[in-house]
Order: sequence, then C-alpha cells, then structure tokens
Amino acid sequence: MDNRFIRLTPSNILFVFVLFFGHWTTDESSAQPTAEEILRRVDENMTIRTARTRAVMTITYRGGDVRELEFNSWGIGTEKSFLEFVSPARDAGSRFLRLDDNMWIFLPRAGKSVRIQGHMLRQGLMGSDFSYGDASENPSMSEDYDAVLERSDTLSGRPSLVLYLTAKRKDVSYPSRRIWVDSEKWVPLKEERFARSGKLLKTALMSDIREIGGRWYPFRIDLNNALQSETKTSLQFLELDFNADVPDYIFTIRHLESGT
Amino acid sequence: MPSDDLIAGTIGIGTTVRIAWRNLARSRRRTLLTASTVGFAVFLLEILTAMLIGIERQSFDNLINYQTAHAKVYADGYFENRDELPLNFMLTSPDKTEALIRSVDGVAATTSRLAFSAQLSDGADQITSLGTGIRIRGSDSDVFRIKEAVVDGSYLEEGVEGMLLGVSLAEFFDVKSGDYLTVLLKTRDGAYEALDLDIIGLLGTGFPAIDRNGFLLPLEIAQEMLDTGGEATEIAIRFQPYASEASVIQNLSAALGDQSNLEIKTWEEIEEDFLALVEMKRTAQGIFLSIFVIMAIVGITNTIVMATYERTREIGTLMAMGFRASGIRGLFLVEGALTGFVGGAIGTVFALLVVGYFASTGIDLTALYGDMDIGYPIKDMMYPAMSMTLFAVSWVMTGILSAVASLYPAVRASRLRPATALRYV
Amino acid sequence: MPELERNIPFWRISWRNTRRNTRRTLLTATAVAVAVASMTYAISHIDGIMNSILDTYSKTESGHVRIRKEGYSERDRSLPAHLGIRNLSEIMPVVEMNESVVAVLPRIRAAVLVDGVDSNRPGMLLGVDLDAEEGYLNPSAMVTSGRLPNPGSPAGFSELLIGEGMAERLDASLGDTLTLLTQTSYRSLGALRFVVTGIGTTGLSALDSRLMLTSIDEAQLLIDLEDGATEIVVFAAEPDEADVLAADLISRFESAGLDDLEVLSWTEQGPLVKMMDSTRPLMGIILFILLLMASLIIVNTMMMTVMERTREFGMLAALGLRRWDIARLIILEGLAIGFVGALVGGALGTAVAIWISQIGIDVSAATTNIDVPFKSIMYPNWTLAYSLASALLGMLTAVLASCYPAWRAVRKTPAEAMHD
Repeated sequence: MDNRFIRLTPSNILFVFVLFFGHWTTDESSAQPTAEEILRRVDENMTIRTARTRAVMTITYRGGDVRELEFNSWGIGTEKSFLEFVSPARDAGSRFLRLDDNMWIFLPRAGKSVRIQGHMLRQGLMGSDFSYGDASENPSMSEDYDAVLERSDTLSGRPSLVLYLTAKRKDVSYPSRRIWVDSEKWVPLKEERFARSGKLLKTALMSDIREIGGRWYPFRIDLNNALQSETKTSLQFLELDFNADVPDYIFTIRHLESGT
Repeated sequence: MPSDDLIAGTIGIGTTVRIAWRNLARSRRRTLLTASTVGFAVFLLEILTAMLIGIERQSFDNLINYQTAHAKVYADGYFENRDELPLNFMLTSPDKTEALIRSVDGVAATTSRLAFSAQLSDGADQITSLGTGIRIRGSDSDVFRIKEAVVDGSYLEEGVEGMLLGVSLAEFFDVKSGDYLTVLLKTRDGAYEALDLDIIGLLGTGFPAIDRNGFLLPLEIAQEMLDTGGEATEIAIRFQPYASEASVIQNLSAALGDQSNLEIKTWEEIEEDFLALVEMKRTAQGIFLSIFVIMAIVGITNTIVMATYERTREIGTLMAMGFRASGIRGLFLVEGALTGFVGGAIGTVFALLVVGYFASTGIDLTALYGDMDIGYPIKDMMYPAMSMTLFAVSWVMTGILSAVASLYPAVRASRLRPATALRYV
Repeated sequence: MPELERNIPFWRISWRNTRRNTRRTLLTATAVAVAVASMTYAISHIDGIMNSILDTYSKTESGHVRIRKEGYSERDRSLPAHLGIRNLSEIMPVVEMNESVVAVLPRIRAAVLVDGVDSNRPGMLLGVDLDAEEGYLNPSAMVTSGRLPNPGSPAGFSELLIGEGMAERLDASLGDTLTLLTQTSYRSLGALRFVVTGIGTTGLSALDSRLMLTSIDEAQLLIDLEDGATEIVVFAAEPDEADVLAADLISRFESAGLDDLEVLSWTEQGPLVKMMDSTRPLMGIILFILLLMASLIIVNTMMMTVMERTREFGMLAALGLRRWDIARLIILEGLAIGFVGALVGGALGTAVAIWISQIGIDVSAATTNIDVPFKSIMYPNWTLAYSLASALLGMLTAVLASCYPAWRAVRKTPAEAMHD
C-alpha cells in the first residue's frame, strides 16, 4: 500500500533509444590516437543522421520469466526517435515518441497518447531498473566526458583500448564510465557505467559486430544491472538501415496516435 | 462544646469541624471503611484515567518524537509536494535559519534534515525507499528520540558511512546490523550516485513510514550523496516543555516574517490523518471512562449515604439535645467532606505513587503478549500520564461529592421528629 | 447432645430482613445493579472497540481469509501485477463450496500513473466487484459527489471514482477523462482511459490523494489480467471461523490441483495480529480495574449494611440463634440482595448495550462529518454471556462480601455484639 512509486515500463525500453540512436561510426584512420580522438571517432561513428531498425529486446526477470519484444524504430540524430512494438500480440501497436526531453506513449487500448513528464521519470518514480537518464542523456560522449586512455587490452579476441571517461558536468547521469574500444573497428566492445562514488552500476557488452554501410556495428548488446543481478536485458538487431529516408511526419503526435 | 452555641442552637464552623472530627474518630471502623472505600474508588479512577491519558499522550509523543517534531519549517512549495520528496524546494542555509529559530521564545531545539527518495538494493532486489539525512552531533537527538527506537546495533556516528534501517525493510532483505545495503539515488543535478552503507542499527519506531520504508543516515553523507552542499529539506523544531504551541508558532511566524520563502507547519498539520484516528479513539475511550466515573460516583455516594442513614438515631439524639436542623446539616456536611477529602487524599497519594512509578519505568506490554514472534525485539511500553490536573480535580470532586452525598440523608433525618428518628433502626 | 428439631425459616427471615429496611436494601441492591450494569455495558463496549478494529481491517485489508498467488505477499509493497491470480473462475467455485463462506471478493490493487491535464501523478487503483463489496469495502459510502462507476464501460469509456485529494491535485472534476498507465501482469505497459463518474473519500486524506476505484472488470482490462485478481478476500459468517476456513480451503485447493496459492486467515497476517496483541493486554488491565471498581462498590455496601447491624445480630444470638445460623442469615440476605441487584443491573446493562449497538456511537472527529467506509461508528458488541457473567460476578461478590461481616458477627458473644 505504501509504495509511493510505481513500476511502469518494461525495463530499459528507453535505454534502447540511446543505445542505438546514439552511437558508433567507422573511421579507417589507424594511427595511435589520443584518448580524446578515440572518443571523438567513436562519437562520429555513433552519431547517425537517420536510421531505421528492427530489433528484438529480451528481458530475463528474476525467477526466470522471459519477455521478448520485437520492434521497429526510426530516428533522426539524437533529438527525435519513434518506436513501435510489433510483437508479442499484446504489445503490438504500442508506440513511443521522444522529442528531446519530452516523451509520449500511445497504447492502442487507451486510444490516446500520454505525455510523461520528465521530472516524474527523473526522480526514479518508475521504480525498478528504469532509468530515464539513459534516455535523455546526450549521446555525444565527447561533449559530456573527458577521456583518459588507461591501457590497451584484448577483449573477446579483439585488440582494444580502454578509456576512462569523467563527466564534464554534474548533470550527466553516469559521472564516469569505462569503455573498451575495438582499436581496429572503432566500436565499443564493453562499457562500464559508474555512480558518482565510483560504484559500478551497469555493464554493457557489445557483440555480433558486423559491417554495415561501410561501418562496423554491434548487432547485439547485453546489459547487466549490478544492483539487480538476476535481471538481464539484451538487444539483438535484426535490421539496421543507416541513413535511411526517415520522413518528418513520423515524429508527430498524429502519427503516434494513428500509426500512419 | 461551648454551651452558648448549644443554647443558641447554632454552632460555629470551628466547632462543627471539631465535632465532626470527633464523631469520625469515635466510630473508627465505619470511618475507616467509608474513607478507604472512597479512597480506593478514587485510586482506581485515577489509575485508569492516567493510563488512558498516558496511552493517548504516548501516541502523540511517539509521533512527535519519531516523525514530526512539534513543528517543521520548509522552503515554500515543499510541503505541498512533499509526497514526491522533491529536491528543488530546499532550505539553502539551514544553519542560519536554525540559529534564527532557536532564538525564538519557546523553542527548545532545532535540527536540519534532508529527506529523499532512494533505491535500496542487496544486489538482487531493489526497493524504493525513503532516506533521511539526520544531523548527528548537536541536534537530531535534541529534537527526535530516534536513539530509543534502535532495536539492534547502535546509533549513527557523525561522518561514518552507515545507516539505520527500518525493521520491516531489514526483514525483507533478510539483513541485520553489521550487513550492508547499496543505496542508489540521483543527485539533485541528475547524476547517479550509489554507496554501500553498513547497517549500523535497525529501527523499530512503530511507524510504518519508517519501519517499513525508511532508512536514516548522517546528514553530511546524505548531502554528499545528493550533492546538495549544506542544504536541507526541513528544519524540525522541538518546543520548550509546557510552552503554548499557538504562541510559539506566532513567535516563529513573527521571527521568520521577513523570510517569506519559508513555511511553518505544526505537527497537527503534518499528520492530519493520524489526529483524526486518535480523535476516534478518544471518543470511544471517553464513553468508557464516563461509565467508570459513574461507577465511582455511585460507589462514593452510596457509601456516604449508607453511613449517614445508619445514624438516623444519632441525629434524633442530637435533635433531642436541642440541635437545630441546620446545625445537623452542617455537621454531616462537614463529616462527609472530611471523609471524602481524607479518603480521596489517601487514594490520590497511592495513585500518585503507582502512576509515578510506572510513568518513569513504564508498563512492559510485551511481557503480557505471551510468546509472540514479531521478529525483532520491539518493546511495547505503556506509560501512564502523571497529570496533576487529573489528581487535583478528582480529589476535590471526591470531597465535594462526599459532602453533598451525606447532606441528603442528613436533611431527611433532620426533618423527622426526634422521637421518630430515635425509633429508627 | 441430641440434635433438636429446629425449623428456622432462614429464607423467610432473610427476605423479611431485606424488606424491613427498604431504603437500605434499595441502596445496596442499587450498588450491585449499577456495578453489574456498568460491567455488562463496559465489556460489550471494549469488545466493540476490538471488533471495530478487526472489522475495519478485515473488510478493507485482510478478509477473514485472504488468497494470493504464492510470492505476492513478500513483494506486496510494489503491488506486482505479474504475481496476480489468473484463474478466478477455477478458484471461486472451490471457495464457494465451503458452506461457512458468506462472501468471496476478488480485488485488484495496482500502482498506476495518472495522466491528468498537463501533469502526471502516481496513484493506487483498486478494482473491486462494486455490488458485492457493499457491506465490506462499502464503496457507496465513499461517494461525496457523482456516483459509483458502472462496470462494463457502456459508452466505450471505463468509469472511475477518484479520491478527493487526487481530484484536487489533478484538478479533475466529474465527467473529465483520465488516462491510467500501469505495468500489466505481463510486465508490458498498459493504459486505459477512464471517465470520472464520482469523487469520494475514505476519511484518510493520505489515501484520498492516491486512491482510485473502479470495477474489477476495468481493472482486469487495464493490467491485462483477464479472469484474474491480485487477491481474493473470503468472509465467513463469524471471524472465529477464519482459521478453520483457511485450513479447509488449503486442502480443497490441494485436491483441486491449485497449488500456487497462499491462503492466510486474518490471524496469520502480521500487522493486525500485532495490533490486536498489543491492544489485548491493555484491554485486560482496563477490564481488571473495572472489575475491581465494581466489586469495591458491592463489597463496601454489603459490609456497611451488615456491620451497622451488629447489635441486631447480638439480639438474635441472645434469642438463641446459633452463630452459624446468624451467619447463614446474613449470607442469605446478601444473596437475596445480590440476586435482585444483579437481575436489575444485568437487565439494565443489557438494555443499554443492545440499544446502543442498534444506534451506534459516532466516534468520528468533528472534522470528518461524512459517512466513511473506514468505520467511524462504533458499536458495542453485546452477547448474552457478558450479561450473565457480569450478573453472576455481581451476585457472587455480594455473597462473598457478606461473608466477612457475617464472620465478624459470629465471632462476638451476644453481649459484646449488643454493646457495640
């Protein structure tokens, strides 16, 4: 009775937005770069003008329940994104629209879109492992973080450079991160996200790296929440279409509510 | 007995009292019986009332001691949105405000607190809970009695990263003092912060908001985690004992008048619902108490009336000796009053002793539960109230009641002709 | 010495004695009567208080027996819809087979996000069978304006009653539509539009600022729990039957193959048991003091009645009555007075208790001036046993109280007694 806060979304739906309307590009430059350069390259790689994708998100809950959600999504830069579930049947037709800090949700049964206030989300009101910060953060890491090259490493058989990132401002969700960047493909292979105290909160592992449209891109992302060890989220891209033609009407409330 | 009194048929007050006293002393057994009955009735009444007042006072006291203090000062806008535990209505210089408040007449102590929403996690489970940063040295325990609610482990220490955890939360995570939990929150600016905090102690206050959902940590740790600098969400105020709440609030408003960005809320305003519940309980108890008062009145009246009736013959004798009706009435009035006051005094003294003893040590209700497993050793103590008003009022009322009670049969008897009265068995 | 044929009409003498001095007898009997009446009512009153706590709690929270899915209770603070019951139609008939069951009420509690005009608020949705809940959750007593929601969303909209505090914060009024978002039982996002048909109060403002009430069908729709509920509360005719009922339901579920349910009688649900257990010793102390007071009145009056008559007893002894005869007379007189007093007192107490339990006592504070489901009318809980026990106790005390002066009377020689 006394739960002041509510659980709302399936975990990390919004996390998805960032993960792929943010990142990764390829640049064939090969000279040993500085940490700042590495980060900028990763950013360039990731900063996609427009994209259309199809993906499956799998959430494994404590106790063994598994949910598989398939969705299509469209994005322009970092400001606009739109997502629509296609399966399972009970989630099909649920759509999400994000324009900068604003978010709308449309569920077919309600027949009307709902605007979710940023402050409701930011306060952790949604409970569980949800994090609005993941969604609203600036995907350009070089804008938000100062980088230090820690060392080189080998991860999953790939040569990688380990960067330690420190936030430039106080309002960045994760005050520090550590990323393993494939030093040939300029794709992040692993990412650790830390709290202000330096405590590890989340670990992301990127795999299934394929070449697409002249750049390397991870087709699978596994996310672990250190504070909820038995809940796991993974994202598998089925289709990725970078620089696709994404018309503006997609990112309107009308489209959100009508689907056309 | 001065003879002129007798001849005139009237006797002075002093004489009346003297005769009355001698009468009482003469039939010692009857006096003893009457007075002890009166005393015992008063004793029982006072004990019961002290208990009922005590229970009610205690529930208020607990509320004040653990949750609301006597009043709280917030930044304007906080109170309305307090459900959401916002961090954007902060007291920017709590120390200065506290100093100002402490200078107000009737204020005994103040302390700053910082309430926030956080997630507690043991690595597998995560629960939204209510964190409160409390100032350890030189304040929180001057206002609140959190220390007394620590049921396992010990109280917080200044600057030490640790927490006091509500017992139900501890039960949920299956942890005890010495273990740790991770506190996850967002700073005011929106960055994640997480710390493993040792559980220094467990809290069993009896209030669900704390026991079921809350944890406490040193203020400076909370401020550091939330990155709020020296700011706080509230200043809790304890008033001087016996200070009039209304006047202290008035003084406070006057003192803080030029700081219109602050609002003062009394504990009654903070906990409306609780008060409504207590009010219900009070009515139900009031009815019960009035039954008890009726019994006490009947007991006392009955005793005195009987004692007086039995002396109809004596009244006849007095009248035969030339006493006037008014003299007799006066005599019995005084005898009744003496019995009542003396009996009442004895009862009251005993009640004072018993109530005084339990008011300081408390009655351990847990011992009366039998073997009940509530998981943690929360002691349920009941403290009767040492209310001087109660004792004074019941004592005086007993005296008056006894006097009046003895008057009625005396009046009746004094209206009889001496001969009739003398024949009375 | 041969036993002489003695024929002392003890009863007649005692009875005559009581009538000889009617005033004294009346006083004594009154004392007994008042004590017995007070006790009868006071016990009923205390029982009524305990009952009303139990009643409110069982009707709003615990039921007499509560059925949940295994694992729900442990996490009930987050109202996990995914741990809801999904087979009401299988469970309900099994429960109803037990003959002591008088009500089976499925309920859904869900944490929701309410989308009002330009603002989101967290809320708690309660979905219940609105008709069947009359007399239990009493939804109709909550309504302060508008009406209760109807099930079945006839006009396409589901209907909703919201708490006054919620209405105020959302700035919502009757006829407005609200969208409720929640996590469904499949952990998807669910939403439904509701039209506000009523605004109401529970009497607790903290609850009113969050509570939303709708019919269980709509709640099932919202959290995607067809044929389901987050809990089923079951009521027997009497609360005492709860434990037996729970045991019976457990075995019935077992044999029906429904094995993932948690069945708890109210006596096994933590908070209430703790509350009752902490109230009980207190009530015990209070009752004990009450008893002392009642006996005090009786003992004292009886003793006075007898002791004032020492001379009279001396006379009787001088007339040749044996000591034990006198004692017997005194005790019989006590019995007679005690009997009459207890009879009158018991009847009076009973009458008052029954009368007040008909009309009830409004214990709500002046601030809450409306009928609220969280019972603010307190009813004494009278049973015949309370009257009988009080009367018996009153009589017994009267007899015992006359023993001491009787003993005193027989201890003295006639001369001593007559001198007294």
